[in-house]
Amino acid sequence: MKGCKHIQAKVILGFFMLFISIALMASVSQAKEVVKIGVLLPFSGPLAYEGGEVFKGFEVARVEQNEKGGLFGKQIEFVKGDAVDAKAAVSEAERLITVEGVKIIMGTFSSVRAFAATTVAERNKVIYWETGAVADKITGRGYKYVFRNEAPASKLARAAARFGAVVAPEMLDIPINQFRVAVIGEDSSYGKSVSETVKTVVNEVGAKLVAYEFYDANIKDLSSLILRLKVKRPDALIPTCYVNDAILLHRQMKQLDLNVKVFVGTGVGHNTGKLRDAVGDDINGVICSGWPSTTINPAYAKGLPGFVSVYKKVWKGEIESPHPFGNYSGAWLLWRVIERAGSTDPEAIRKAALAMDEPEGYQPIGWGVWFAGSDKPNAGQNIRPDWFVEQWQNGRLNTIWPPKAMAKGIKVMIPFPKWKER
Amino acid sequence: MSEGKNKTIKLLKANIYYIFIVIILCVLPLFVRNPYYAHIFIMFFSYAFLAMAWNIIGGYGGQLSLGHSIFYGLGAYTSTLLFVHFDLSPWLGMLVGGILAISISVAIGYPCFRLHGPFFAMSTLAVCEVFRILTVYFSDLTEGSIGISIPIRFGLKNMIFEHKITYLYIIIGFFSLAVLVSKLIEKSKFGYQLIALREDEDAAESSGVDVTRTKLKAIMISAFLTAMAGSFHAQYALYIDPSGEFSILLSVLMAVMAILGGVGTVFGPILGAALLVPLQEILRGQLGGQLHGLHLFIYGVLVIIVVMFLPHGIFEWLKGWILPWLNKLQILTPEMPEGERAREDLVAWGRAARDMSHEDEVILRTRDLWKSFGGLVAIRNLDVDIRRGEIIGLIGPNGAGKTTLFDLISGIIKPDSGVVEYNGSNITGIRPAHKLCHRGIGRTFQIVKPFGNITVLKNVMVGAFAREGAEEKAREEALEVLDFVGLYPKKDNLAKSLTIGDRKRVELARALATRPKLLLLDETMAGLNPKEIGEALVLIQKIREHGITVILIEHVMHAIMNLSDRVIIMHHGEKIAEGTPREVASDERVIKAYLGEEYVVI
Amino acid sequence: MLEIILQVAINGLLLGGIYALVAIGLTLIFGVVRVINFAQGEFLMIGMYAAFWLSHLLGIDPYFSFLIITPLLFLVGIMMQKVIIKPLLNAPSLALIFATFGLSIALQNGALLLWKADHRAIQTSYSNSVLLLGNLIISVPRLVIFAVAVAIVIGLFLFLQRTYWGKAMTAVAQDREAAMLMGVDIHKVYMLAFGLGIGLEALAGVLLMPVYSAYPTIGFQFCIIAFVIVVLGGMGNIFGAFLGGLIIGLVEAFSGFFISPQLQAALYYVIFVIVLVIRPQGLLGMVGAQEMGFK
Repeated sequence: MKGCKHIQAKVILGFFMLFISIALMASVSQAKEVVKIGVLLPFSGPLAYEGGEVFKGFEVARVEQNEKGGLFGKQIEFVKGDAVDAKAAVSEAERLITVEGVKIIMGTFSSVRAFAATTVAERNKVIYWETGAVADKITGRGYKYVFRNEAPASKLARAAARFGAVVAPEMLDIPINQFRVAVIGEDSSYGKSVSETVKTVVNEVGAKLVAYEFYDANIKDLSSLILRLKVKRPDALIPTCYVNDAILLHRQMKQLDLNVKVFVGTGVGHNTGKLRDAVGDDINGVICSGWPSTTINPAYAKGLPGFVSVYKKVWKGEIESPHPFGNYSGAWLLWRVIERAGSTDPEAIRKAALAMDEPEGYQPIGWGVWFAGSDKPNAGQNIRPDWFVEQWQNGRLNTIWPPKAMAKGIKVMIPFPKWKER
Repeated sequence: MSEGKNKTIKLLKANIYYIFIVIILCVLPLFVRNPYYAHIFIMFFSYAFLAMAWNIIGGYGGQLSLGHSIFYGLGAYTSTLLFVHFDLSPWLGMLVGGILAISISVAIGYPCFRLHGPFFAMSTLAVCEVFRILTVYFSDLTEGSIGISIPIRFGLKNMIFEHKITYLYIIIGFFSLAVLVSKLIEKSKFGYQLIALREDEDAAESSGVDVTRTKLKAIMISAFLTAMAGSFHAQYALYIDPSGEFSILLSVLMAVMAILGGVGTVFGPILGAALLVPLQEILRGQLGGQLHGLHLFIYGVLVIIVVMFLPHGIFEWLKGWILPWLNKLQILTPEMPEGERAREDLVAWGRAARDMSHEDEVILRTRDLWKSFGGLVAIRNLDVDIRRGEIIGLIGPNGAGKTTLFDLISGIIKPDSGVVEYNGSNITGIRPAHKLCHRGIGRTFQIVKPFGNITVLKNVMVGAFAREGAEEKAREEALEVLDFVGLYPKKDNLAKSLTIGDRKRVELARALATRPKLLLLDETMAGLNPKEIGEALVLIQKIREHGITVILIEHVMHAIMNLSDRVIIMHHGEKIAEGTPREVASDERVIKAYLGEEYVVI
Repeated sequence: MLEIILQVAINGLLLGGIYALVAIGLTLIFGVVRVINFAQGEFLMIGMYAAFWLSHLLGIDPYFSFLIITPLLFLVGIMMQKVIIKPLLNAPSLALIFATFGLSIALQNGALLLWKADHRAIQTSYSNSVLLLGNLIISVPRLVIFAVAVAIVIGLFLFLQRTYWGKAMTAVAQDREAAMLMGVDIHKVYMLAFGLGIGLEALAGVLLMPVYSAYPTIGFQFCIIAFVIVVLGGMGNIFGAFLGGLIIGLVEAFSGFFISPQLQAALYYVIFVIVLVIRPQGLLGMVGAQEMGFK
């Protein structure tokens, strides 16, 4: 019996010795002639596709800048972190900061992951440069080191709601107080935050909100929800989906013959080629707020031609989704800020970012720059950008808002064609 | 004075290795310079803590819970909401969360503990999912799926620190707490009873273990600890969300770590965590998310291998080959021999029965007892009187209702109608069985049920714990009983490694340790060879000499005829004859029942 | 409005058919071998991926590829019984639980490693086809699944009643020892039960491809529902599994319609726990069934 006690103790002792030796191994990072920038994206997991697309944009920005000599004469190098889920995002952010020693992290597409990882950056006084996640709360905490280029979810929602609840009734000649709007969304922070604002706008403009429903993103069957909506006879449907539920929604709406006069999706689910590949021509007529595709008017988005050519060189293929271009613009902006800061020191970058004041047209995507200070409620938010609105026409995603961004010959198609008439 | 000093020195010497470990734990954080490694250590200690918490109900108690994240999430959300809205220090919030977790654990445990094995597991999983869904749904309270970002306000009161070292110290403290709790449980009456019920619930009940209460106690402790970890993590990551806190994966990992390392041991879960954490962090760090899921895949395969080849977990297997190696090197201190067993006539366990000398003549009486199962009548109109100090033989063909009668008396089932009186009081329908055990009714089972995975001594100690509260006393009692039944030399063997005869003796010893006044023996002699039967006869008579009344179900005719004062014959649930062995042997009805019409000699 | 409710009911029944098909394999294995296969859902997932790859790489439609996949997985089921289950039949019941559990984790993450977490879907000509019954809309692929579920229930029933091996399986399910004494080769019966259980599960997966997308954790999600159904219907009872499936499908459809899609899942978890606690033998099961084999 006593011997056993000692055995246990010794085994544990042994393990601790092992751990101590590991602990004493400090990681030594060589100082190289590069600028290391952390990239935290969902490279695997349910959002792997989108994460990959965002990375494509970042990579284009990196290659383009490196060809021009990099930053301060040093080449830019990415260090990747895989934000599989929120907890991993936290772990990876920790690793990037403490092991890899980066002073800047770019990312992250997903609101939940960004929300979690930005806290790590703030605590460690490391710059977090968000180019794609939209939840308003990310820049609602008075953080000093977190900056977000793209407009938040509230603007995404407003852009969609504008079309769904204002432009549409006008074009259809229906009085706005009789216009029936249904708002649905998947129930994660993305779906919820966008839908909340859509609901606010719908109420603001005086349209009739006939449905406000959420569903679990992993749902297998939306038929109950669709039937619930059918009873309400909506004129407009404004869904906030990820890709898989967008596909399910589309298919089941067609099966159950739920027709609406205008269909306005918001970002992610409805503006990638994946939906088109899954539902084919049934996608035509879908309106969607979010990133613009490459059909945007280059007079507005002056950086488009340059982006396309470098993209083709780096990735050797067609551009599949709107994510690369938008996030490329955010990355491009970061390089400009770093240049003005003169170094990658977070304090200098902060100052330079806050000092920036550029009008519309400055960024490749056409947006201006002005970051709110840390004393403001939306600290770190670039307040000049506003979301675009596109429409699927003939299998292509065409920009229809702002009017300046509409390419020549493009018109808005309302109403949304009936399923049986396709 | 010097006696006190001597004792202290002895205590120190005995636990010298533990003291070493404590010192190392205190000093370790200072060596960890790199914050990333600090993070890995914090992860390790957290997971080890969680695995140990799970182990209390899952390992020692044998209830496979796959929904422990319920408590983790409750802890995290409670302390966080209280901190964010009311500025309540997370140290206090943690306690509140723990109490909430305890209440929920009782609410879940009470109905669900009736379920066994996978059903219990699935129900815990289902409840955890319900909590997750509700947390998302009631987003007004919990911020729903976007989660809660905890404001970065450093300070001890807020449990938010700039440097990881402080977190590391805190989690090491928690870790040590869990180790301490586990060790204390192992040595306590509660622990023995918990392990007993894991091995065999019915046998444990009959040996005086209040199974339901014990399980509830275990899950309460486990829930409290798990909730503590949830609160800690919230203050460490400064972000919580429903999927992260009520995570199925986390529930699963807690269980898997304990299983891999070795359930029901103190260090098994720690070992399990020691395997998982580096695997996870290194794979993630080095492969940068290329091979997502690899660590879990390896883990799943390991679980299968361990279950098939190392059923007691990796820790026991390691002990298995380290021990002989250390033996060889003579590093072990030699064991001190136990003192001579005192051979006393009136031993404590026998005293209870003797002390009954002034009590009722009739120790057990049944009147008009009926019991049916579905359409089958098992006990019919049964009247029985058993006097104190008798040895009664209960015989009859299979299906006569003998074991059912035992079950009715010992509180395993309830009669449909009729009365059972024991020692003057009405015990009809009293359940569960541990209550009858405490009143002095002990029993063995037709299919022998020792607690296989623990030693003979510990088996008997479970019985002793029905009367004693302290481990030392229980051990003493158990040793005395073992000596009495002749199993003393095998006291440290695992019960499942014994022969059938010895296993029956263990069961008997266990029952005796509960200080019964009435002992029900169900086919004790089945499967024994003639020599063993002879030994059993002697033993039972010695038991009666201690004043214990014995009722025996047997089929070994010559044994029961020799041993019994009186014999009761049952057939089709009825008593068809009763009397001395001689009287009964010539009774017509008996011969008809056993041998058939042809054998009746007029 | 009545029409809409009828539509909800139809959707619920069709969904129920899907659930029933998924649950049949689980209940069969439990009834005969008395083993709860935690990894059952993973075989559904494997069936789905198999159908996906055969369609994606070789262009074979799932309604044909099942002819290849089902027998293949039948063999896998037999192997699983031989390699993992048989050695552990006499070990404490916790061992079997842990083993199938470990297998479930390994398979899920193995799929994740091989095929990533992306949802894989196939487009068939009939994926969106509907039958019209007046104004009621019935999805064709779901109807096919429903029909197959019914066919399997009837087929299994006949198999169990009329054939030697079927009767042997029933005997083993009712009383293992007695069957052994009658000369039934228990291990052959177990292998058959596992083979059928796993094969049927894979078949369910194949048929699900036109309707759902495949991803590594889909098996696990269906498995939980399968458990609910098996418990509700009564462990080991084929008709119970079918009935339970229909009930859960209807509950899901109606609660999604009348209450909220968000709480759909919560509702059947709650039903699950309630059934377990109040009537553990389910609707059609044997009393004490849930106790047997786990002591």
